Amino acid sequence: MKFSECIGSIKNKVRVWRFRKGGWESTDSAPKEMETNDLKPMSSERVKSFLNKIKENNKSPNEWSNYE
Amino acid sequence: MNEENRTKIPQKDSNSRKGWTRRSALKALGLTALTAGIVEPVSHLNSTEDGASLKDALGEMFQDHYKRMDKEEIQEVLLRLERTYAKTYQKEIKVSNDLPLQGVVFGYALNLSKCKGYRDCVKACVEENNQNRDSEIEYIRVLEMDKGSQNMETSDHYYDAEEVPQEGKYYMPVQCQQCEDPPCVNACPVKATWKEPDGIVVVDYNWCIGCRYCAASCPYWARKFNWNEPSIPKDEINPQTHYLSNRPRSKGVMEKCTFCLQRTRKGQMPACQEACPTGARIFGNLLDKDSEIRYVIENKTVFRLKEDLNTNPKFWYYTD
Repeated sequence: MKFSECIGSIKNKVRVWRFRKGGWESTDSAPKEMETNDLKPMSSERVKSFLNKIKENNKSPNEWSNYE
Repeated sequence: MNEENRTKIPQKDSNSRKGWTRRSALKALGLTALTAGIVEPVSHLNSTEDGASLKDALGEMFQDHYKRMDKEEIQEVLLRLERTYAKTYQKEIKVSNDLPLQGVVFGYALNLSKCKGYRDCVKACVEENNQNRDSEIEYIRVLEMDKGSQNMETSDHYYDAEEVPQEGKYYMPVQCQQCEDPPCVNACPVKATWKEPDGIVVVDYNWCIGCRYCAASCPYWARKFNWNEPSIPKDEINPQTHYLSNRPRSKGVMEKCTFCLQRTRKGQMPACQEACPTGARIFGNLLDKDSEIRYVIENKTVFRLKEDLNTNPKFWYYTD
Protein backbone atom coordinates (compact mmCIF):
# COMPACT_ATOMS: atom_id res chain seq x y z
CA MET A 1 0.00 0.00 0.00
CA LYS A 2 1.30 3.37 -0.92
CA PHE A 3 1.23 6.34 1.36
CA SER A 4 -1.18 8.14 -0.92
CA GLU A 5 -3.60 5.23 -0.75
CA CYS A 6 -4.33 5.71 2.88
CA ILE A 7 -4.08 9.47 2.87
CA GLY A 8 -6.20 9.83 -0.21
CA SER A 9 -7.53 13.26 -0.75
CA ILE A 10 -10.13 13.16 1.96
CA LYS A 11 -9.32 15.34 4.88
CA ASN A 12 -10.30 14.33 8.34
CA LYS A 13 -12.72 16.81 9.72
CA VAL A 14 -12.75 17.95 13.29
CA ARG A 15 -16.18 17.82 14.81
CA VAL A 16 -16.69 21.02 16.68
CA TRP A 17 -19.47 22.33 18.81
CA ARG A 18 -20.30 25.90 18.11
CA PHE A 19 -22.76 28.30 19.57
CA ARG A 20 -25.48 29.47 17.28
CA LYS A 21 -28.63 31.36 17.94
CA GLY A 22 -30.78 28.93 19.84
CA GLY A 23 -28.04 26.79 21.37
CA TRP A 24 -25.08 24.60 20.72
CA GLU A 25 -24.88 22.58 17.56
CA SER A 26 -22.52 19.94 16.30
CA THR A 27 -20.93 20.52 12.96
CA ASP A 28 -20.75 17.38 10.91
CA SER A 29 -19.20 19.27 8.09
CA ALA A 30 -16.74 21.55 9.72
CA PRO A 31 -15.95 24.92 8.25
CA LYS A 32 -12.98 24.98 5.95
CA GLU A 33 -10.62 26.55 8.42
CA MET A 34 -11.34 23.75 10.89
CA GLU A 35 -10.34 21.03 8.46
CA THR A 36 -7.31 19.13 9.45
CA ASN A 37 -5.38 16.26 8.07
CA ASP A 38 -4.29 13.67 10.58
CA LEU A 39 -2.00 12.03 8.16
CA LYS A 40 0.12 14.99 7.25
CA PRO A 41 3.65 13.63 7.01
CA MET A 42 6.21 14.96 9.44
CA SER A 43 8.92 16.97 7.81
CA SER A 44 12.50 15.96 8.49
CA GLU A 45 13.06 19.26 10.30
CA ARG A 46 10.16 18.52 12.59
CA VAL A 47 11.45 15.02 13.29
CA LYS A 48 14.84 16.47 14.08
CA SER A 49 13.50 19.13 16.43
CA PHE A 50 11.31 16.58 18.16
CA LEU A 51 14.27 14.27 18.74
CA ASN A 52 16.19 17.19 20.22
CA LYS A 53 13.26 17.96 22.46
CA ILE A 54 13.01 14.46 23.89
CA LYS A 55 16.76 14.38 24.35
CA GLU A 56 16.55 17.53 26.48
CA ASN A 57 13.53 16.25 28.39
CA ASN A 58 15.37 13.02 29.12
CA LYS A 59 18.25 14.97 30.64
CA SER A 60 16.01 16.84 33.01
CA PRO A 61 13.16 14.68 34.26
CA ASN A 62 10.26 16.55 35.79
CA GLU A 63 9.70 17.42 39.42
CA TRP A 64 9.23 14.88 42.23
CA SER A 65 11.94 12.78 40.71
CA ASN A 66 13.52 10.18 42.90
CA TYR A 67 15.56 8.48 40.25
CA GLU A 68 18.91 10.00 41.11
CA MET B 1 -31.28 12.69 95.46
CA ASN B 2 -29.58 12.23 98.82
CA GLU B 3 -26.37 13.91 99.89
CA GLU B 4 -24.21 10.76 99.40
CA ASN B 5 -25.11 10.35 95.75
CA ARG B 6 -24.62 13.98 94.97
CA THR B 7 -20.95 13.89 96.05
CA LYS B 8 -20.19 11.18 93.50
CA ILE B 9 -21.00 13.42 90.56
CA PRO B 10 -17.81 15.07 89.26
CA GLN B 11 -17.83 18.74 89.99
CA LYS B 12 -16.59 21.32 87.54
CA ASP B 13 -13.31 22.69 88.81
CA SER B 14 -11.79 25.73 87.17
CA ASN B 15 -8.25 24.82 88.37
CA SER B 16 -8.13 21.27 87.06
CA ARG B 17 -9.45 19.38 84.04
CA LYS B 18 -10.11 16.11 85.75
CA GLY B 19 -13.44 14.47 85.08
CA TRP B 20 -15.65 14.64 82.00
CA THR B 21 -15.72 17.99 80.30
CA ARG B 22 -17.52 18.55 77.03
CA ARG B 23 -14.17 18.70 75.22
CA SER B 24 -12.82 15.44 76.63
CA ALA B 25 -16.07 13.68 75.89
CA LEU B 26 -15.98 14.83 72.28
CA LYS B 27 -12.32 13.83 72.02
CA ALA B 28 -13.03 10.36 73.32
CA LEU B 29 -15.96 10.03 70.99
CA GLY B 30 -13.82 11.13 68.05
CA LEU B 31 -11.05 8.65 68.89
CA THR B 32 -13.56 5.84 69.20
CA ALA B 33 -15.08 6.73 65.84
CA LEU B 34 -11.64 6.96 64.23
CA THR B 35 -10.59 3.59 65.58
CA ALA B 36 -13.83 2.04 64.46
CA GLY B 37 -13.45 3.72 61.08
CA ILE B 38 -10.02 2.24 60.55
CA VAL B 39 -10.43 -1.14 62.10
CA GLU B 40 -13.96 -1.98 61.02
CA PRO B 41 -13.41 -1.89 57.23
CA VAL B 42 -10.23 -3.91 57.48
CA SER B 43 -11.05 -6.20 60.39
CA HIS B 44 -12.64 -8.80 58.13
CA LEU B 45 -9.42 -9.00 56.17
CA ASN B 46 -7.57 -10.27 59.18
CA SER B 47 -9.37 -13.51 59.19
CA THR B 48 -10.76 -14.69 55.90
CA GLU B 49 -11.51 -14.27 52.26
CA ASP B 50 -8.77 -12.40 50.50
CA GLY B 51 -6.53 -13.24 53.40
CA ALA B 52 -4.61 -9.98 53.64
CA SER B 53 -3.41 -9.33 57.13
CA LEU B 54 -4.49 -6.33 59.11
CA LYS B 55 -0.99 -4.94 58.76
CA ASP B 56 -1.11 -5.27 54.99
CA ALA B 57 -4.53 -3.68 54.82
CA LEU B 58 -3.38 -0.74 56.91
CA GLY B 59 -0.22 -0.50 54.82
CA GLU B 60 -2.32 -0.22 51.70
CA MET B 61 -4.58 2.36 53.26
CA PHE B 62 -1.75 4.64 54.33
CA GLN B 63 0.54 4.08 51.35
CA ASP B 64 2.20 7.22 50.01
CA HIS B 65 2.54 8.31 46.39
CA TYR B 66 5.04 6.22 44.43
CA LYS B 67 7.32 9.16 43.76
CA ARG B 68 7.40 10.28 47.37
CA MET B 69 8.42 6.91 48.74
CA ASP B 70 12.05 6.03 49.35
CA LYS B 71 13.59 2.73 48.28
CA GLU B 72 12.82 0.94 51.55
CA GLU B 73 9.19 2.03 51.51
CA ILE B 74 8.78 0.92 47.91
CA GLN B 75 10.35 -2.41 48.75
CA GLU B 76 7.87 -2.87 51.58
CA VAL B 77 5.01 -2.08 49.23
CA LEU B 78 6.25 -4.56 46.63
CA LEU B 79 6.51 -7.33 49.23
CA ARG B 80 3.05 -6.52 50.52
CA LEU B 81 1.60 -6.65 47.03
CA GLU B 82 3.31 -9.96 46.34
CA ARG B 83 1.80 -11.42 49.52
CA THR B 84 -1.66 -10.15 48.59
CA TYR B 85 -1.50 -11.41 45.02
CA ALA B 86 -0.14 -14.78 46.09
CA LYS B 87 -3.14 -15.26 48.34
CA THR B 88 -5.59 -14.02 45.74
CA TYR B 89 -4.27 -15.97 42.77
CA GLN B 90 -2.68 -18.95 44.56
CA LYS B 91 0.47 -18.33 42.60
CA GLU B 92 3.81 -16.64 43.19
CA ILE B 93 3.66 -13.25 41.50
CA LYS B 94 6.73 -11.08 41.23
CA VAL B 95 6.21 -7.32 41.41
CA SER B 96 9.33 -5.54 40.22
CA ASN B 97 10.29 -1.91 40.21
CA ASP B 98 12.80 -1.61 37.38
CA LEU B 99 13.66 2.05 36.99
CA PRO B 100 13.97 3.92 33.70
CA LEU B 101 17.37 3.69 32.09
CA GLN B 102 19.41 6.79 31.41
CA GLY B 103 19.68 7.75 27.77
CA VAL B 104 16.60 5.79 26.81
CA VAL B 105 13.34 7.18 25.44
CA PHE B 106 11.04 4.61 23.93
CA GLY B 107 9.27 5.10 20.63
CA TYR B 108 7.09 3.04 18.36
CA ALA B 109 6.49 2.95 14.63
CA LEU B 110 3.85 0.97 12.80
CA ASN B 111 3.87 0.02 9.16
CA LEU B 112 0.32 0.29 7.84
CA SER B 113 1.24 -1.59 4.69
CA LYS B 114 2.04 -4.67 6.72
CA CYS B 115 -0.79 -4.60 9.24
CA LYS B 116 -3.48 -7.05 8.15
CA GLY B 117 -5.86 -6.62 11.05
CA TYR B 118 -5.25 -10.03 12.64
CA ARG B 119 -5.43 -8.58 16.16
CA ASP B 120 -2.68 -10.87 17.46
CA CYS B 121 -1.19 -7.80 19.13
CA VAL B 122 -4.43 -7.22 21.04
CA LYS B 123 -4.55 -10.78 22.33
CA ALA B 124 -0.90 -10.76 23.38
CA CYS B 125 -1.38 -7.44 25.13
CA VAL B 126 -4.35 -8.69 27.14
CA GLU B 127 -2.44 -11.73 28.33
CA GLU B 128 0.83 -9.95 29.04
CA ASN B 129 -0.74 -7.08 30.92
CA ASN B 130 -3.17 -9.04 33.07
CA GLN B 131 -6.16 -7.20 31.75
CA ASN B 132 -9.64 -7.83 33.01
CA ARG B 133 -11.18 -10.58 30.89
CA ASP B 134 -14.79 -9.73 31.78
CA SER B 135 -14.86 -6.08 30.85
CA GLU B 136 -12.91 -6.69 27.67
CA ILE B 137 -10.46 -3.93 28.43
CA GLU B 138 -8.05 -3.81 25.53
CA TYR B 139 -5.24 -1.30 25.26
CA ILE B 140 -5.01 -1.68 21.48
CA ARG B 141 -7.89 -0.90 19.16
CA VAL B 142 -7.49 -1.98 15.58
CA LEU B 143 -9.48 0.28 13.32
CA GLU B 144 -10.76 -0.97 10.01
CA MET B 145 -10.90 1.83 7.50
CA ASP B 146 -11.70 2.27 3.85
CA LYS B 147 -8.67 2.73 1.66
CA GLY B 148 -8.38 6.32 0.67
CA SER B 149 -10.05 7.61 3.79
CA GLN B 150 -8.76 8.58 7.14
CA ASN B 151 -11.77 9.30 9.24
CA MET B 152 -11.36 7.79 12.65
CA GLU B 153 -14.88 8.69 13.63
CA THR B 154 -16.40 6.44 11.00
CA SER B 155 -13.83 3.66 11.27
CA ASP B 156 -14.95 0.26 12.50
CA HIS B 157 -13.53 -0.70 15.91
CA TYR B 158 -15.46 -3.93 16.13
CA TYR B 159 -15.01 -5.46 12.71
CA ASP B 160 -15.91 -9.12 12.74
CA ALA B 161 -15.10 -10.43 9.30
CA GLU B 162 -14.35 -14.10 8.85
CA GLU B 163 -11.18 -13.24 7.04
CA VAL B 164 -8.94 -10.25 7.12
CA PRO B 165 -7.78 -8.21 5.37
CA GLN B 166 -11.01 -7.33 3.64
CA GLU B 167 -10.97 -6.01 0.13
CA GLY B 168 -10.72 -2.25 0.02
CA LYS B 169 -9.89 -1.92 3.71
CA TYR B 170 -6.78 -1.16 5.66
CA TYR B 171 -6.11 -1.54 9.35
CA MET B 172 -4.71 0.91 11.83
CA PRO B 173 -3.98 -0.19 15.41
CA VAL B 174 -4.27 2.63 17.92
CA GLN B 175 -2.98 2.47 21.46
CA CYS B 176 -1.43 4.87 23.96
CA GLN B 177 0.77 7.19 21.94
CA GLN B 178 3.01 7.96 24.96
CA CYS B 179 2.75 11.67 24.20
CA GLU B 180 5.68 13.88 25.00
CA ASP B 181 3.16 16.48 26.18
CA PRO B 182 0.43 14.21 27.52
CA PRO B 183 -2.90 15.92 28.21
CA CYS B 184 -3.94 13.08 30.51
CA VAL B 185 -1.13 13.93 32.94
CA ASN B 186 -2.22 17.55 33.15
CA ALA B 187 -5.81 16.52 33.71
CA CYS B 188 -5.14 14.32 36.74
CA PRO B 189 -6.15 16.23 39.89
CA VAL B 190 -4.06 14.06 42.24
CA LYS B 191 -0.91 13.49 40.18
CA ALA B 192 -1.58 9.77 40.02
CA THR B 193 -0.26 9.70 36.48
CA TRP B 194 2.96 11.10 35.09
CA LYS B 195 5.53 10.74 32.37
CA GLU B 196 8.62 8.76 33.29
CA PRO B 197 12.06 9.89 32.11
CA ASP B 198 12.02 7.16 29.46
CA GLY B 199 8.90 8.74 28.00
CA ILE B 200 6.33 6.25 29.27
CA VAL B 201 3.17 7.62 30.84
CA VAL B 202 2.34 5.54 33.90
CA VAL B 203 -0.33 5.34 36.59
CA ASP B 204 0.08 4.69 40.30
CA TYR B 205 -2.98 2.47 40.74
CA ASN B 206 -2.87 2.93 44.49
CA TRP B 207 -3.04 6.70 44.15
CA CYS B 208 -5.67 6.92 41.40
CA ILE B 209 -9.05 8.10 42.66
CA GLY B 210 -10.92 6.96 39.55
CA CYS B 211 -12.25 10.36 38.50
CA ARG B 212 -11.64 9.50 34.82
CA TYR B 213 -10.59 13.03 33.90
CA CYS B 214 -7.59 11.52 32.11
CA ALA B 215 -9.86 9.38 29.95
CA ALA B 216 -11.83 12.45 29.00
CA SER B 217 -8.71 14.35 28.05
CA CYS B 218 -7.05 11.61 26.00
CA PRO B 219 -7.66 12.11 22.27
CA TYR B 220 -6.55 8.56 21.45
CA TRP B 221 -8.97 6.53 23.65
CA ALA B 222 -5.97 5.10 25.42
CA ARG B 223 -7.25 5.21 28.98
CA LYS B 224 -9.29 2.29 30.29
CA PHE B 225 -11.32 2.26 33.47
CA ASN B 226 -12.00 -0.73 35.68
CA TRP B 227 -15.74 -0.54 36.24
CA ASN B 228 -15.72 -3.94 37.90
CA GLU B 229 -13.35 -5.90 40.06
CA PRO B 230 -10.98 -7.28 37.42
CA SER B 231 -11.25 -10.96 36.77
CA ILE B 232 -8.20 -12.86 35.56
CA PRO B 233 -8.19 -16.66 35.42
CA LYS B 234 -5.61 -17.97 37.88
CA ASP B 235 -3.90 -20.12 35.30
CA GLU B 236 -3.64 -17.25 32.83
CA ILE B 237 -2.14 -14.62 35.05
CA ASN B 238 1.28 -13.34 34.06
CA PRO B 239 3.46 -13.61 37.17
CA GLN B 240 6.15 -11.22 35.93
CA THR B 241 4.77 -7.82 36.79
CA HIS B 242 5.87 -4.26 37.41
CA TYR B 243 4.45 -1.88 40.01
CA LEU B 244 3.67 0.76 37.38
CA SER B 245 2.51 -1.56 34.70
CA ASN B 246 0.86 -4.96 34.59
CA ARG B 247 0.34 -5.88 38.23
CA PRO B 248 -3.28 -6.77 38.95
CA ARG B 249 -5.44 -3.68 39.32
CA SER B 250 -8.51 -3.14 41.40
CA LYS B 251 -11.99 -1.85 40.72
CA GLY B 252 -12.28 1.90 40.25
CA VAL B 253 -8.83 2.69 38.88
CA MET B 254 -7.61 3.76 35.49
CA GLU B 255 -5.11 1.80 33.44
CA LYS B 256 -3.32 2.11 30.12
CA CYS B 257 -0.63 0.79 27.83
CA THR B 258 2.90 1.30 29.11
CA PHE B 259 4.76 -0.18 26.14
CA CYS B 260 5.11 -3.23 28.43
CA LEU B 261 7.67 -1.52 30.62
CA GLN B 262 7.96 -4.70 32.69
CA ARG B 263 9.63 -6.13 29.60
CA THR B 264 11.14 -3.16 27.81
CA ARG B 265 13.10 -1.92 30.81
CA LYS B 266 14.78 -5.31 30.81
CA GLY B 267 15.70 -5.03 27.16
CA GLN B 268 12.83 -7.10 25.80
CA MET B 269 10.31 -6.03 23.18
CA PRO B 270 6.68 -5.23 24.01
CA ALA B 271 4.29 -8.17 23.74
CA CYS B 272 2.41 -6.62 20.81
CA GLN B 273 5.63 -6.23 18.87
CA GLU B 274 6.64 -9.84 19.46
CA ALA B 275 3.19 -11.15 18.62
CA CYS B 276 2.79 -9.34 15.31
CA PRO B 277 3.08 -12.00 12.60
CA THR B 278 3.69 -9.53 9.80
CA GLY B 279 6.49 -7.49 11.34
CA ALA B 280 4.50 -4.28 11.13
CA ARG B 281 5.70 -3.02 14.48
CA ILE B 282 9.03 -1.35 15.15
CA PHE B 283 10.01 -0.51 18.71
CA GLY B 284 13.16 0.96 20.12
CA ASN B 285 15.17 3.69 21.77
CA LEU B 286 14.70 7.05 20.10
CA LEU B 287 17.97 8.34 21.50
CA ASP B 288 19.97 5.54 19.91
CA LYS B 289 21.10 6.79 16.50
CA ASP B 290 21.60 3.27 15.23
CA SER B 291 18.22 1.92 16.26
CA GLU B 292 15.63 0.72 13.77
CA ILE B 293 13.06 3.16 15.08
CA ARG B 294 15.40 6.08 14.38
CA TYR B 295 15.98 4.79 10.87
CA VAL B 296 12.26 4.60 10.24
CA ILE B 297 11.34 8.03 11.50
CA GLU B 298 14.29 9.68 9.80
CA ASN B 299 14.05 7.93 6.46
CA LYS B 300 10.41 7.02 5.92
CA THR B 301 7.46 9.28 5.39
CA VAL B 302 5.95 9.14 8.83
CA PHE B 303 2.96 10.75 10.44
CA ARG B 304 1.42 10.95 13.85
CA LEU B 305 -2.22 10.93 14.86
CA LYS B 306 -3.89 14.24 15.60
CA GLU B 307 -0.68 16.14 15.12
CA ASP B 308 -2.59 19.41 15.34
CA LEU B 309 -3.30 18.83 19.04
CA ASN B 310 0.38 19.30 19.92
CA THR B 311 0.44 16.25 22.13
CA ASN B 312 3.64 15.15 20.39
CA PRO B 313 3.08 11.39 20.31
CA LYS B 314 6.04 9.05 20.28
CA PHE B 315 4.12 6.71 18.02
CA TRP B 316 4.49 6.99 14.28
CA TYR B 317 2.68 5.44 11.36
CA TYR B 318 4.21 4.89 7.96
CA THR B 319 3.83 2.83 4.83
CA ASP B 320 6.30 1.04 2.58
